[in-house]
Amino acid sequence: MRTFFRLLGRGVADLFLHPWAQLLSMAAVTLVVFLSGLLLMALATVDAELSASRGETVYQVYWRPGTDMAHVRGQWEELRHMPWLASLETYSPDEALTALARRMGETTGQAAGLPALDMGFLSGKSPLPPTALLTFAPREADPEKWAADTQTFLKAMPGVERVAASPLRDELGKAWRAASRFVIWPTVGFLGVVLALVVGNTVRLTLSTRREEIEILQLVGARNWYIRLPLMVAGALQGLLGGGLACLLLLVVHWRFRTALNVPPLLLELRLPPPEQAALLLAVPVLMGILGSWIAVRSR
Amino acid sequence: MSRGLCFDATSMLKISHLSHSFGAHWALKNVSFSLEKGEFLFLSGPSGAGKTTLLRLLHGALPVQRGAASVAGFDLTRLSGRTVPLLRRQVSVVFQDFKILPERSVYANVALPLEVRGLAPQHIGRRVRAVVRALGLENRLDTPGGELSGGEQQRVAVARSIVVNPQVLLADEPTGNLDPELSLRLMDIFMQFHAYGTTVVLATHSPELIRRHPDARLLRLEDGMITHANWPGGEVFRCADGGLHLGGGGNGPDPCGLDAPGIPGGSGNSGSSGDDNSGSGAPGNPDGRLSL
Repeated sequence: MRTFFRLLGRGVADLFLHPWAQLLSMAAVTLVVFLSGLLLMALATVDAELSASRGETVYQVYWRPGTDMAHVRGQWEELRHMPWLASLETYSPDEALTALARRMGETTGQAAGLPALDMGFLSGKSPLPPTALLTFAPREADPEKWAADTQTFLKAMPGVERVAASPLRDELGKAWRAASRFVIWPTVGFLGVVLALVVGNTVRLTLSTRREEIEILQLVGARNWYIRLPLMVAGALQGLLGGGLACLLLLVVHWRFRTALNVPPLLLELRLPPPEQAALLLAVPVLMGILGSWIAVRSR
Repeated sequence: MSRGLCFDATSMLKISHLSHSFGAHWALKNVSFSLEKGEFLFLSGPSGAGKTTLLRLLHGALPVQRGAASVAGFDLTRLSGRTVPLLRRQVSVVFQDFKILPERSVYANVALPLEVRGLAPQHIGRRVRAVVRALGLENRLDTPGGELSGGEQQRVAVARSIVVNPQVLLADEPTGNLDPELSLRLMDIFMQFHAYGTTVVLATHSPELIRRHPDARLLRLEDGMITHANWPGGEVFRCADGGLHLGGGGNGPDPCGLDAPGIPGGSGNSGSSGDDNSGSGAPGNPDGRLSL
């Protein structure tokens, strides 16, 4: 046990044996992890934007004309507490009429040079039904089941005549969610492999400066674990320091440039990678530091 | 194909029909000899004769391809990744290029093989100081290896190899980088160490060193074969390939025989050594034995 701890200590101390080689190696690890982190950050930003704009599901609920408005307003209050609700627009029959008149004036009247439509004569006698426009941004494991359940719930509300869904936006949302499953994780996996290869090779090449030391230890009868343990500790530390430094740099970039792209027409806000991807940025260099050291002492 | 060996208790090093090739080039051809505990052997010969290959085989740095070999009780034909470190704890090696760690102190370099064995620090300190004192390096204990002169580095390498009191000490041109005076001093150290019972195999180019130790055994290698031997009290056979074989009579009926077809000058000897030997420059010895 004493030998074990002595070898762990030697692994740490050995980082200072060849400071320039270690420093350059750590810089290489930091840069490659930082680059991977930037790519993940870009991916997270794009994913968040696409999910926000295309992952929404919109329902328009129509009540029967003549339904008691006090009863309808009570239902609107209930709707405001529905999960995943992003926005709720409500229209009483008079509001619906006003909105209709304004929309018609904008689209036809102004184009033809006619004055805006005046529907004041229908005030209080609007034939339009009360309606509500509900926009959801669901993050459900099974979005199709959620959509079906929500539609059933809305249709079952007392006084509701029909519920219209926005099939195009719904389909776009579904398509993006499916695509993100097939795009994001394979991309993260590919980045992980690139990261692993570069970090592993960097650590392995750094150990070439200690080739003679390994050879001498083998000559004096050291067992493989005795040689490998300090090297693996040094490799893990190098991966941890390089990965940690890269994550710090990413935080600085996020803090400094978070809103730099939030200007028309981009309107993008930089997002940090989710925690499980950020953990990869630390775990992969550490594992590859250990593995690179292991491989370097593979042959006797 | 390897031959079986009969190992007796006193045999510290025994090789039989050992051949080794690097690609198409045979660096060692059918070499056989054995050494008992406490014997001293000079290996001489020109560069490329096979001395270093032989030493590398003897401490497990190269695998045995043909023939059989045993060192300090380890069958070299059956070495595995696990047993090589155990062999190297019994067999120390000194190289011409020292192979010391330049950034570590003299103490750390000499202590290395003891640390590897997991000895207590106090014990390591005692052993290291005693050996370093014997080699005149006591004032350089804390000096990094890279700041030492060539002679001092060589003494550190020797100290590292003898501090573990090995059963066999292999030295590959240990005096090659030293001036004559230092070479002689180093040889004295080897001889003192040998006097305590360690078997020493020392490869050298220097005829002067060999002349100064006429009692030691001597093998001259040329082109991978033993071409000359000073082997007091032993049996020497001259074979058809021009090589000599030592002490082979104890291993079987045919000291010159080869199991391995393809080794230059080797095939076809098996079972006919008597006839071959009698016609290959051993007049007066119908059984092929030479008197040395």
